[in-house]
Order: sequence, then structure tokens, then C-alpha cells
Amino acid sequence: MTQNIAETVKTSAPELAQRAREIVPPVDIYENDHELLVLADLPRVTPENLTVEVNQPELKIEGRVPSANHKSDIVYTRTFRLDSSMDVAKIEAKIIEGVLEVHLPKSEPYRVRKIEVTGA
Amino acid sequence: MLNIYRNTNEWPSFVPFALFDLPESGRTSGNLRQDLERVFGSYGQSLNGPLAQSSESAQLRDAGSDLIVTIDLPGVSKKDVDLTISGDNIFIRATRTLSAPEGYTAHRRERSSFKFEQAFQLPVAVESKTAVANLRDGVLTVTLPKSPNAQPKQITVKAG
Repeated sequence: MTQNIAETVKTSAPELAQRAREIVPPVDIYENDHELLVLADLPRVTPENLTVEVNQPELKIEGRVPSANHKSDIVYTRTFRLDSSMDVAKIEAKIIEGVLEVHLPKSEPYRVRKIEVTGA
Repeated sequence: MLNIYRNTNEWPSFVPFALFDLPESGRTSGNLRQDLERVFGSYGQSLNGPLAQSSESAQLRDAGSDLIVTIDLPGVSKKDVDLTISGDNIFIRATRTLSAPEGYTAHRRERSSFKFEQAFQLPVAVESKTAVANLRDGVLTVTLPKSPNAQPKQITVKAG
């Protein structure tokens, strides 16, 4: 199976580093015939403080946990580079019990299809 | 809401230790992180669990009449969390079992299964009867009302 998604490592912007503590969340990436599935542990992140952004060819996940007791915010961030096989318009994301799920459907030409062989 | 066990007869065998070193003002200090790392260190290292990612992932807060413990447990369902409270002790057990979703091939697996078992000694005795535990957004929050003797009191200073 080909690798349709590769990680982009970025150094944090200095203004972000001052206000927030960046954490790289652990991520699982799965694939089946129809889609890629990205799972990330983002405890304490609520949907309002979470952005999943696709700016071709990049997929960026960013979840912010507002500070408690005057400490700096925590920002979970991870960026991946997508190849052209994803149907960007159909990407869906949800967060359940602190675990983010991003579904990245493959565009039609890249889906695995079983062809029925007919006899003569 | 989570089930909280209050039966001290079923208390698991462990060596309690002072986890939270609260200064006299009753507020959490900068030493908390150090304390947590000391306590959670072995867990984080051996299991590569969520606490290995961040020392922020377990916190004790003194909210005046309550102590509030929060622990990051992403992807843990409430049936997999057990809490036992007695006096100034709290025992927390949580498990996360991960497996690849059916029909999918794994490209990258950084998230891990874990078994979290930890006993804490709290800085003051708490009222287990009115303790409340809640699992939301992957965070376990345990609100522990302090026992009457440990409640903050303001003492009026009288002039001679």
C-alpha cells in the first residue's frame, strides 16, 4: 500500500511559543479501500478549541487547551502532507472522549474496486 | 457519572505516599509538576501512556472547600475507570485497550494501550460520600469535598 500521507515537521512560530506550550500528540494512521483514518489523542480539547484545516497539500490539526491557574495554554499540533489521492471536499472530523477522528476519503480514481470477471 | 467505590474493606494493597505537597497557603505550587513526575514517572516511562506526553496531564487543584483531581484519559470509557476513596486516600484505576479498526491497515501507530493504577495520598481528608467523578473530553475530573475539619476557616482577630 502506498503512503498517501506524510508528516510535515514545523518549527513553532516564536509568538506561539511564548503564549503556549506545544505538545505533539500521538497519532495513529489507518487505511482501507475507501479512506485514510487519522486518530489523535487530544485530551481536554473541546470542539470549539479544535481546528482541522486542509490547505493543499497540508492537513493541519490544532487543538488548544486554555490555561488553568495562569499557566500558559497547551497547544496540540500536528501537520501532515497529503498526496493528490484524497477527496479534500469530503474530509470529515469528529472528537469523541478526547480522541480526534479524521476521515479522509480517497477520490474516485484511487478507490480500490473489485471487478467482476464474467465468462464469455 | 462514574461509580465510586467507598468500601474500604476492598481496599487494594498498596503503599500510599504523599503525592501533593501543598504549601501552607493551601494552593498548588510550582513543585506540583515535579511531584507528579516523581509519582507518574515509572508509569509514563514503562507504558508510554498519555502522562508521558505531558506532566500537565494529572493535576490537583485546591478549590477551597473541595480538592479537584484531573487526569487525562483520552479514549477511556467510564466502564473502564474505577475509583476508591477513603479518608485522605484515593485509588484510581483506568484501562485503555486499542486495536486496529476492522478492515483497516495500520500505517502509523503511536497511540498505545495502557493500564493506569495509582494510589494517592491527599493533603487533607475528604468526604467520600459526596465525592463526584466525571469523565468528559477524555479527562477524568474527581471533585472531593474536604472533610469538615479540613474546610478553610477565617479567624477573626480581636483587638486586645
